[in-house]
Amino acid sequence: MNCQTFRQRLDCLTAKQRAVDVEVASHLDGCSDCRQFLAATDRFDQRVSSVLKTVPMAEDFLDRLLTVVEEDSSAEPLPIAKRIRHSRAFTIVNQLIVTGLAIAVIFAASSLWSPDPVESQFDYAVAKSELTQKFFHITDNNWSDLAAFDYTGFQIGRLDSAVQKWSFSEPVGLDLGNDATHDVVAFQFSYEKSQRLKWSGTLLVLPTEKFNGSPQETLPGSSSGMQILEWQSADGSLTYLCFVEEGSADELAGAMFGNIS
Amino acid sequence: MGHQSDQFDEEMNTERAKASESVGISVQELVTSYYKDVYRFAYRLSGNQTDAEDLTQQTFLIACRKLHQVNDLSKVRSWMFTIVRNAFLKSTKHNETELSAFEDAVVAVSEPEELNLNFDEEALELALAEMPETYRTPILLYYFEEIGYKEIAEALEVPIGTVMSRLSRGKKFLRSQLSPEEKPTTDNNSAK
Repeated sequence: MNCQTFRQRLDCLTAKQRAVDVEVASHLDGCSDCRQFLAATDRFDQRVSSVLKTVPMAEDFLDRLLTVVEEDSSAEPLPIAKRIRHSRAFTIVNQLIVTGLAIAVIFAASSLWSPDPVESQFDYAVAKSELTQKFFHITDNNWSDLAAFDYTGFQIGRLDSAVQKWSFSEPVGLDLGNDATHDVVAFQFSYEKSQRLKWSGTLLVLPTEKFNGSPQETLPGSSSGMQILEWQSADGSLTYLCFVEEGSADELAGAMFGNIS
Repeated sequence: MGHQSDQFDEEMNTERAKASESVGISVQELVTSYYKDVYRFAYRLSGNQTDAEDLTQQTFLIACRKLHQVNDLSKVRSWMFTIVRNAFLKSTKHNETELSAFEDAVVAVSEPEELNLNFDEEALELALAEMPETYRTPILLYYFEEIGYKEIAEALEVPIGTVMSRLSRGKKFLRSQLSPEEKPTTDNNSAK
């Protein structure tokens, strides 16, 4: 885990959680910069916490609040006949309004709906070219400039079991379109064999449905001489694009899947 | 009809009794135990005393009626915070443009070299006011409840990764705003 990713993780953990987190302890042991960062942000967090907890409150607020809550909890319910009348009147008016609204919405939707939402589609070849420029030989500095992945746009769900053998950094996200959501999620990965680092690099995960012309194969394929693997998840929902920095891409594919197409 | 009405009253009373019995806490105890926490959170969400009082009142009225849904006393506090937040969201309009302007601003800031610890409440309030609600709430929960991203994700019913990125970005924004280096703004005027 690089320092940038580590610090993002620190920001999400409470002091108690940090104290028992093995990864945190391990990174802090070997990184004086992050130890300093943690000490400074701890003091800052304590200050924020203490300032936030001081707010102006009217002296009689508790009394007023108790009065309102007690009045509400001792309030007599409406007689059942009145409730039914109210309920029926509301239901008839409500049904008329809902029906009218439904007709209007269906009419509006039928005139606006387009079967092919072109804006949300990207050309895979173009995206791959852009992503290759950005991620092939990415440095730690460039990586640390990337935004933490926001899951709002698409859920990556479970990665395929073959990929789960890898170790991953916290994800970062990329927005290829004009909307605010992320269209690509990226991880720095490493894969050890016999307790020795054999492969490392960057794995990009793309939602297949958003990209036209993405690879159809469910086994990783490499371009001759290039350290790039690309393939589709077993269920077809995800497309993987992998830039191998350390180790041979072909051997990595072979180690993961037994053979390579 | 009289019989039906009596039956209805009885059911309502049973429901209320169930509400206070299920977690072993009365309505009065609920209010006196949590009104400060709820009010503080409401105040920080809304930014003023009047709205905070209204939100707190709404929260306790809802909580008292639904108290029977809570089976674990240890979760009452975070459940109350969820009610405050929902009540707050109902009372405000959201502006997605504000969200993207904020995210752009956060990406542009860098960590301050030195953190300022001498900021006052006004500065903190201003910084929080610049955050969209989707960032402010996880930050407030983090500082008020002292819970991590997983618990916040559960309370807000949003994915863990979303909470992580919002906490990380939100705290980075606070540090940069409250420390005397470059101070980005979300430029709300132009967003509108």
